[in-house]
Amino acid sequence: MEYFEIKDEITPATVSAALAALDDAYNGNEITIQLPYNGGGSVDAAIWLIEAIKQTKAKVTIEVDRYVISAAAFIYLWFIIYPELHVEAKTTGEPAILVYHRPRVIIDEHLAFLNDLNDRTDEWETLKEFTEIFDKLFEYLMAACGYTAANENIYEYSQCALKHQLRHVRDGYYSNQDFVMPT
Amino acid sequence: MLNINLNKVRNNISASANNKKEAYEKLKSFKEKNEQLKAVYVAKGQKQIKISL
Repeated sequence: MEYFEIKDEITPATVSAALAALDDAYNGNEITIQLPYNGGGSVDAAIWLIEAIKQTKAKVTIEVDRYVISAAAFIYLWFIIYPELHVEAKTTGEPAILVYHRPRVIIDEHLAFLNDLNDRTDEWETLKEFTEIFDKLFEYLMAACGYTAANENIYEYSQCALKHQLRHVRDGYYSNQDFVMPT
Repeated sequence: MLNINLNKVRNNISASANNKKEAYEKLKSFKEKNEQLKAVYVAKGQKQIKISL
């Protein structure tokens, strides 16, 4: 059994040892990838890790702990929503917090989400494709939570108009806010 | 924060094999476009800009 702790952030450097082990694994090998207090990071590194986990011959456990944010949340959710027989994604058993948001481009410390841009910008096609990938995962998650179109209806209470909690969550996510969920 | 625990609802998630296949194809397509975008940034001298998570 091999253990790889990828803590703090997802970068080419922090995932490199795990990538090598996943690539070199034989049938019967067991690899645990721990993502404790991970704040996310690199798009490339996250995708390399997802692809290496999918393609490896090893049995893989992905274990999250404390907080799992952004790129780390993307990796964790990917294998919950698109499961593989040889991969188990789980917590350590202790409560953890998942923080998920739409991808963005950082330009001079300013954040550009897809709906901040237009189709004349260099980033449009690429960010659109990645945002659709993220939105699909999010919608699977919402459906699992019980979201239906009926949750868009306004609830009247003492002459006040209230939104369902799942509508608040969706509105926040599609307004480019962080989606936070215990796990 | 949504007061629903992911561990309690994860068994309700049902992506089909086709959905999964499409997701990996889309991931591959994104990777190719992202490499092209990086080349545009390099050509414009804007290497510090990138899609981020």
